Amino acid sequence: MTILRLNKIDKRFGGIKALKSVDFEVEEASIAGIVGPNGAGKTTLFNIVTGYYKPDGGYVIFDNKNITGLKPHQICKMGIARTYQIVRPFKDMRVFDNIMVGAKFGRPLDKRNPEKWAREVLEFTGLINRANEFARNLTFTELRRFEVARALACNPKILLLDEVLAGLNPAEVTVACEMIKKINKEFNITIVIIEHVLKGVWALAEKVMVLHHGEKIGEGKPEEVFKMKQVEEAYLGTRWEAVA
Amino acid sequence: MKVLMALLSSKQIAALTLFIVVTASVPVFGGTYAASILIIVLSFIALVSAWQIISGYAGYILLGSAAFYGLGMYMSALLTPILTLYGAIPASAAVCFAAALGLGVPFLRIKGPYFIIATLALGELIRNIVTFTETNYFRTLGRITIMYDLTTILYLLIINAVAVILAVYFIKNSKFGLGLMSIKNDEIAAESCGIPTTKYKLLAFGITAVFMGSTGAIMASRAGYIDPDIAFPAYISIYTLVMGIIGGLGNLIGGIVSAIILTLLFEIFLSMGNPYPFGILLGILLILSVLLRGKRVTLLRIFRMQKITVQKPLSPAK
Repeated sequence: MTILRLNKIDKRFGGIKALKSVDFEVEEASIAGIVGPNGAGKTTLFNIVTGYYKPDGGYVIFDNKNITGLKPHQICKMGIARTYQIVRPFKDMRVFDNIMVGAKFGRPLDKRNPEKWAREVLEFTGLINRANEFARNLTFTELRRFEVARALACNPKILLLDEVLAGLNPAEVTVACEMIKKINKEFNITIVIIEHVLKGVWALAEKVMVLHHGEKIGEGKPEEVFKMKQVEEAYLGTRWEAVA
Repeated sequence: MKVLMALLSSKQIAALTLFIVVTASVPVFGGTYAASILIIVLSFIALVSAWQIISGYAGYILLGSAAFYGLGMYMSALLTPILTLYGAIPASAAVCFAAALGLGVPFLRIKGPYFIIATLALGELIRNIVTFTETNYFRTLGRITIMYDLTTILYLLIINAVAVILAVYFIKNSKFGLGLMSIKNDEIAAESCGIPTTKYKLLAFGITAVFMGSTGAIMASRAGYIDPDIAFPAYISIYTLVMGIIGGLGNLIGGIVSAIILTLLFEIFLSMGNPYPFGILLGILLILSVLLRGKRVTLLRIFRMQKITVQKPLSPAK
């Protein structure tokens, strides 16, 4: 079943066309990846899905409902949570309170206790020992995990991860990938991941979309997509023989 | 009363009772002079505590407290002849709430230092609107207000101050307060965590206006005569902000203490016949507390940095 469907999304910033008629579908309980060079429009796409931008054309269907034009907090309550490329913790609040914000304001937890859920999330992400710390005191790596934890606390159906692997060393990337896989399996949450680190996407995603200058230039299984000529050209440039 | 017992610790109830008993006994033992000073102290306690909601918790520094204070005063002057003061106070507060909701829609879109400047203009704006309507439609500038005796006003102000303090305290420990503090920390992240930020900011602004308006409404029947310069004095806006910042943003007790100390200090300087050194002192205190804020120190360090956390801290992991 398709949980998230983007239909012919257009977005302009002044004269720049950030997205040109982008279609994308995400299957329920799968992991999908979006890759592309800098400025390709990946984060813009996330901003449209989460309601920060209104698309100039096209619409977003989530869970069989049209969510185009809804406010970000309404979309969060429906079950789409996201992380930010540049982390945005509530610095002057304790880690536990940060997570509680997600648990209390995100998608309703039914009859579950928010405090218990917050503790569960902290244990899952390995931040439980830092629960009483102010968020500003977390290290870089912890902050990356913390962003995922707060989004997870919102009890989403689908989790949008914006470059969570950026800046991590290879060992940390492996750990983070394991965690993302576990979120997908154990909590049954669909994941869409934007990534520069191709290793991460390769290991995780079942399906990848490649964006370049706001256009979709490839879609499919990672091993197939990265062999496509236009994808190679977008990342590495035209082959020398081809030019000659 | 039982509800209060359940929500407050015995220490807090004791402190609150002490506050009420001490303030209420001032006119009995202290005489008129002490009571008239206490009136100023109590009105500033209410203003600073109300200020904490929008500025201390939601992080929108308000430099226009006089707008709602004066609006409350004028509404009270208009309504007291019809409703008596007891009816005029809630009615004025309601008008201030509505005004804050209306004004909040454009104003709360402005962020950071620009919001501070805009709210300074807000005070002037409302003052000029009132001056304009009074001179053009009512052919007058000032208004005579119905005066109530000192003790009644004092008791009303005590009730008002206690109501504000309780309201701020409960907001701080509620889901609403958690939302406001998230907005102060990072509005974009707060919105994406499911907090309806626009609604919350408007509500916080409205509650602040309610209590500033009710304080003004009570003070109107102390004044006897009001005109725009009496109802919207710039010093109300500035003192409220300075007291709030010196006491610590979001620090309820700190704000109350600095309201008491600064008002008394001003009285001492005034009684010596030269209030100007007080302005210098205030300036120095403000600069110091802004400079030291980055180090997370408030000048009222003795009253402990306010715990920014809302929830009970987590017990160590088992």
